[in-house]
Amino acid sequence: MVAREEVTMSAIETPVSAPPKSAAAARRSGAARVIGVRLAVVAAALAVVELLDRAALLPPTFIARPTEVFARLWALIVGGPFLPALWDTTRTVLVAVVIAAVAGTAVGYVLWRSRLLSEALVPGVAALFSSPIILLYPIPLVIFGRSATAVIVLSVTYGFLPIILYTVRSFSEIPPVLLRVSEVYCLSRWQQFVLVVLPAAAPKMFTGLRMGTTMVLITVISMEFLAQLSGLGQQIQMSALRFDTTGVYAYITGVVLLVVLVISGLQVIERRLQR
Amino acid sequence: LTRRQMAVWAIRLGVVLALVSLWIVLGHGGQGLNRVFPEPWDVLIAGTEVVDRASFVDDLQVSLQAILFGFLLGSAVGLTLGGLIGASERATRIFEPMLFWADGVPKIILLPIMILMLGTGVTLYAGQGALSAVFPVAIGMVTAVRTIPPVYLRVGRSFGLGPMRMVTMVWAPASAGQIFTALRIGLANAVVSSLLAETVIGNQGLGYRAVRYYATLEIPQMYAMIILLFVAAMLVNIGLERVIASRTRHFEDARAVRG
Repeated sequence: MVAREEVTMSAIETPVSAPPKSAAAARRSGAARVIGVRLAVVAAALAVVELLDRAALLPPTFIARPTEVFARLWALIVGGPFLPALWDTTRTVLVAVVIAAVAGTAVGYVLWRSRLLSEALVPGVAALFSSPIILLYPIPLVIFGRSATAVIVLSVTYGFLPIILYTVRSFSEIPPVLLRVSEVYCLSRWQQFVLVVLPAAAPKMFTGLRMGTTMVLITVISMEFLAQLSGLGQQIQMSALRFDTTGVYAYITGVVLLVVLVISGLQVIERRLQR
Repeated sequence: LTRRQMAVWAIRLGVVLALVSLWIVLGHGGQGLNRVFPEPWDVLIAGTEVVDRASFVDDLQVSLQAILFGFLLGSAVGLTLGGLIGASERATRIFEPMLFWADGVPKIILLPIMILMLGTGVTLYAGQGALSAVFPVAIGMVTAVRTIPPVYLRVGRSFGLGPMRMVTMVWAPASAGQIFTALRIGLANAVVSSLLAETVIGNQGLGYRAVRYYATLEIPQMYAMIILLFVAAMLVNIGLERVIASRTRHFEDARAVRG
């Protein structure tokens, strides 16, 4: 009763012009402030580089003026090869992520069903995940030639390992009561997988998908750069071969923005799923 | 060995044998596939030959030098950066995600700029290694600093420890496990980045040699070198992981009890 009165009083006493902020609104404004500070820090750093460059205090051979870099990036986006290259990279990443997700989930499911297989193979998968797989990049190039297939094979190899690990872990953490209910309803293995296992494990599985997607993105861009195949990686390499420092910075800026967008986007989705 | 352990090892052996058999079958598929999939035995012989060549020791020296310098520089910067960011909650909120973004950018694409800055050769390889080691080490350091149990700090303060002794006697031992793990990841990244840079430009180092074999169509030698590098890097990583886990277990146990 006292508590209710206190709530009522505080509601009356709160001025109409300043409504109480909800926790969500406070969180949003706090997050906006943090993003504002981040942007300000980046802008300040770029302004310092710009001023030092204009004062001829930086060697022009390897530093490009930020204003020129952004102008070039814009020019490359509007009428240049940036968007086709971005599409090439995105398409390769999407294909690799889909293959990695399907294969990783299938292997993870099999390992979850068999405790013996899981015991035998999961430590190996974990060891491979922390291994320098990118060093193997000449092998797919020898086997598949300088083609998108070589890029996809290596990036799938990297990307599907965290998906396997998180699939096994998420399936193992499904409450047993859900599985028992599916047995009571006499669901087939496929029905149990689609209607019970997948929805129950999806939020935690997404962590594996996020890590796998990040690994695929990094591997695809690295391979495009190393093998000069296509996409943004190749454009960076080509700009470097033309000694076009501003172009190199412009494409690197594009890749950094892409990485930030993908990583933050996936983190936002993950937080929402796991809330 | 129990029955179950034998079954586990049988499965592991079966998987390896299945992969090797697949490799052999593909190699016998005709249409020049034997050049792409050389006999495993040939790769093994090529491996001994590669290690015996005079160039191997020189290349190994260059690669180790680059990895070591890169790792030391990258981890020094990473530890300082992570310590400064982790010391403040507000700085952590602002800058920690930026460290994750920077870590997510493939460092190999920065190679053209690094070439302009450092030229080609061992300095470049070390620079690439340092660039790759900085961010995981900084991220680990932020986590290490932010997760020190507050009671440790209160005890340190109540004993009247100065800033230097707080760092050496409380902060460092309390966060040793996480710092060493971050350093291990930093080292693994430095190894990969230095070797990758060697494969792209220059004329020395084990990475360069692997790509050289590819260019001269010495495919078994190329496979042998790449597998050698891969296995060595993997073993160093796993070995360090185990050593760190065993050496810092008591600190982690103490954290767990507090947690």
